[in-house]
Amino acid sequence: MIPSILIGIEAQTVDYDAVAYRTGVILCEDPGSPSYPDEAWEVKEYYKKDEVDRFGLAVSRDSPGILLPEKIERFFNGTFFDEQDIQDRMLFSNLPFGPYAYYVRLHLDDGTPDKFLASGSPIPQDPYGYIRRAVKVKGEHYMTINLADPARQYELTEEAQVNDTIGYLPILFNLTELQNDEIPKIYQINPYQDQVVINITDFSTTINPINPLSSVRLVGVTLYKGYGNSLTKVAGTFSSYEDDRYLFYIGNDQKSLSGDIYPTTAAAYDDIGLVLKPAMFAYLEPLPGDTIQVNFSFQYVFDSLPPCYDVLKGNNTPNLWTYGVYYDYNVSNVTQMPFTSGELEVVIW
Amino acid sequence: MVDDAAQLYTIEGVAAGVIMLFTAFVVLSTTTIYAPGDTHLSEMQLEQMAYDALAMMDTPDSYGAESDLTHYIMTNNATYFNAGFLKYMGHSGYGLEAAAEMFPDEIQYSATVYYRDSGSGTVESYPFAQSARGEILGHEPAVTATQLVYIPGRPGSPPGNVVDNRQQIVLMEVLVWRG
Repeated sequence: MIPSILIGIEAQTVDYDAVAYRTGVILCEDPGSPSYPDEAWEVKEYYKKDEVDRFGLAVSRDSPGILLPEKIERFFNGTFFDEQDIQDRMLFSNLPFGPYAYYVRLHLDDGTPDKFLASGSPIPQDPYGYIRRAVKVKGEHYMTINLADPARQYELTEEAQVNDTIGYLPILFNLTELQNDEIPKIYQINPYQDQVVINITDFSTTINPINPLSSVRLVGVTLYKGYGNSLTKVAGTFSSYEDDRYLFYIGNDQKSLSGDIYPTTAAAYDDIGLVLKPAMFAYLEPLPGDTIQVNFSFQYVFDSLPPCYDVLKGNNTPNLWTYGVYYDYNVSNVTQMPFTSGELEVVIW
Repeated sequence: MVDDAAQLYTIEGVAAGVIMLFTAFVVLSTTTIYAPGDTHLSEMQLEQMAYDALAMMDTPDSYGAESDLTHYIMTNNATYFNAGFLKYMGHSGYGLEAAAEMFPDEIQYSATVYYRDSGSGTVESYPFAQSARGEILGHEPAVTATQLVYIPGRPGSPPGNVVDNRQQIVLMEVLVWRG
């Protein structure tokens, strides 16, 4: 027998470039699974981590290369997903080729530091696979209400009747209007995918008093949900899941909205900020066509009974949205930031 | 006495030996060894990056704005196109050898715009931009990336090419090679 007939050895190559390319496509061109309109993978709480099938950073399947900031934040958070999650849900490594070592880097052109995700071992000289993709990151949006500006449409005149007057500022989310299909998904305001930021400034100067104003205090933030004329208060919204569902700031200090709040006096702060994260809207579970309302309640105390004052008019009657401000595509209400360019690099070995 | 019974034993032995050798051959011939691939597919990366560059340049940064590529074609601004395109092609991946060989400093390209003339119904073209370099060597294979671009009216094309003054889609084709 001739030895060359007996010995047949095949070399099967592991193509790291192909794995790197595939990983680049999964991250840049796919929104992940599950994704909006189901409960998206970046919103799932830690105990539901296993319901994530696949990572993906794109806004939607129709928008390859446009990434969503919330997905970026969850993906590059080194503590939420562990090594095994990465292998199963991003690299899909299986024997005999896996597990792969990886290095993912996202660089943005806005000057923020690069984000990394690495398996720990250093990149070898050779062999390794490499891919680089150009991406853009969807801009964040926010609403700033300066209550000292007399041109704001929600400042109405009402006669203050008592020393202790409560005025309401409702911020409304008409979900049907926000999910307007004429606007491409990458430019939409989608509270299920983006965080919503509401800044209210100068609220102690809203009053143009004839008689002195003693104090203005924020005394409550409540959430309402409903359809048409009937909005009902949602209980337990601002409980303990603070950082996942909302962030609340008085001046520059982060505070909690649960329990008794706002023990501060008027002089201590004049602007407040509320960030509602996508997890909050997932928790509220509004039905199609519903409106969500965030109600800020302000208490005005006057030194003496004033004859006429400008106060915020808004109340809990069904017609409350007449006096509220809509978080919508009106540029005088909401500012949408433009996209940020960047690049994503994947190295596999 | 001598008879032919022993022949059967011998034949059986030879047959058994042949079966064993054949089995050993089958077992050994199914050995596989895993070895890593040895070359980077640099043409694939170049084509992917050129496609990404055109796609990103054709995405407006905010709703209702004009995309960069539309603006460059409308104003026939090859300088800005050059700066924008090479910004994508030239970023280096922090010193990795594969990145350096895929995106060297000397990327050459040639961009052409194809449009349809509604009068004659034919597809015409005009050269839009070329990379500027002293000596251009053409030994490396070229890859192509294309992008269909919406333009709202007549672009600023060079004289000799009169493009219809109407909303239309044109094809921007870029040939890219290392040289």
